[in-house]
Amino acid sequence: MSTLFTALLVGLVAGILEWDIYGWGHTQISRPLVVGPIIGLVLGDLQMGLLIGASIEFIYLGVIPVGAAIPPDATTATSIATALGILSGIDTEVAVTLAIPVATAAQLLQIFIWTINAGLMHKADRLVEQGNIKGITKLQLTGSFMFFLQGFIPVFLAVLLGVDAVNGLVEILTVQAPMVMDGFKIAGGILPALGFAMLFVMMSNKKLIPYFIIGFTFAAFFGGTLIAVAALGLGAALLHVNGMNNAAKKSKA
Amino acid sequence: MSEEILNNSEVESNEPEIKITQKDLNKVYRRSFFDMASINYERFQALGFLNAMAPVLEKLYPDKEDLKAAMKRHMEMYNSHPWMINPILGTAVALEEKNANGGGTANAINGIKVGLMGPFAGIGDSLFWGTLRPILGGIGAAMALNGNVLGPILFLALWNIINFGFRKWSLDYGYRIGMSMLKDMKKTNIIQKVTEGASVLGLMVLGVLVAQWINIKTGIEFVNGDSVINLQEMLDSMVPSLLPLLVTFGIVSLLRNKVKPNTLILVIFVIAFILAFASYFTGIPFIVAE
Repeated sequence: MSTLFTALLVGLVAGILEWDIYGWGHTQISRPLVVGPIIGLVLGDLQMGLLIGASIEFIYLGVIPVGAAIPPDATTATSIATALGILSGIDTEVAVTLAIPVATAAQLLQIFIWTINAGLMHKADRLVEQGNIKGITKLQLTGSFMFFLQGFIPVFLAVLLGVDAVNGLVEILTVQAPMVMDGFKIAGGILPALGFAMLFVMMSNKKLIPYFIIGFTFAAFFGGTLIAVAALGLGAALLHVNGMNNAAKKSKA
Repeated sequence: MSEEILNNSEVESNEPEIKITQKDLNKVYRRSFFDMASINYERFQALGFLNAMAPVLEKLYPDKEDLKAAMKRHMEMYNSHPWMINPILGTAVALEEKNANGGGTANAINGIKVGLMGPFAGIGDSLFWGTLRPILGGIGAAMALNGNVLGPILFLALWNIINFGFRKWSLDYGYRIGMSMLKDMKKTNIIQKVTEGASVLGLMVLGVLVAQWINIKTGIEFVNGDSVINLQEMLDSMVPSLLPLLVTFGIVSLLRNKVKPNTLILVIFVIAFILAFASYFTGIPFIVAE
């Protein structure tokens, strides 16, 4: 197999596996435990794939996406570590160690996609104005395809260019030009405020603003979790509705 | 429908009721697997929610203007655990069905979505991501380290029985809950109560989201003699999450002054990059990137 063909093949498989994280299904074929043996099978060394995948799985076993946070991209990292482990003959331990900075670098790519996908929202707003519901589905599939590319491009390049190139790129992203990625990270931190502000404008009327203040206070000052405040909110909603009943009775009497 | 039911809605529709069938729910089920496909920092899974609802909305609203209004409702910011969208979708389908048949439930829909998505995200993240996956993954990885190929296979099989099963069951369950909640409408005029109650719950949850899901922290420090004063710690000791709150309400007032969200995105990007470059060249972390 020529290197180009191998790179295309592994990239394609890695793209499909990566797609599972956000693009479709959440079937967990994107977990290192599964990615390792599949890439291993493609390259003819199932046992090494199993070993690398399982080792990386243990590293990221407790790393979970919470709320709006994006965890390191262990999927792309496992694809690259397994492929390079088998193709360049580096040790299993070295391949596993390589996976950690790669996962962090690939995470930046994910942050980048989350940021530019905001553009899809405004395309969608225009489709809504036209009542074009078929277009909505196409747009959603466009977003889905981005996450295939997110797996395909880095893995294709890594297999094509080899271990040294991967180390070099990780160095540039994290050491030499971190401000570009910092820009995306800062924007990613602020952007949810826009979504929440739009929601606030839509939901609030003057009478109900106290409930926002109560929710914020419990979360900010007392560290109340979403579930705790939602339980409180349910109680508040019932009280509020009871108040509406009493007001209705008084106006009748 | 008898007339006394409709004492609140303005017009009684003469058109026949449009019913949602199990077949329609199954379409929503299939699309629910794409819920995160256009996830983004501005509105997260909003488009995913609308995309899953699309077949139902298309059936319920033959009138183009009604359809547009319904589509607009579901383009509002939405984010939860990817599985937990299914019970919320089920409830939303029930509310849309009622609304399309003259129930006037449109205004309750987003309040209920926001009220549920937060706590459901908390439950889903800790139960499925935080508990189920480490257990199944740990067992599978331990087998795989011994060279046993059954490790990943067992992991995938167990996970996906729960993945496909839970999503199917909870979608149908959410729909039934939604329908039974709305049956009481015959007794009293419950629409306004549901709408306001949902907004109360939704706004309280929104308060938590603003406090905990927006990430704006400053790294600025002042040197005062021997001691170093950290600005973020100072702010936290007054009002924690003050910066996210201020930015959110800054944006709220801009939106109320008819500034377009598109413009705001651009402004946020420009500011973020100015801050990042300024931090890099001055060495002062104005806003921490993490």
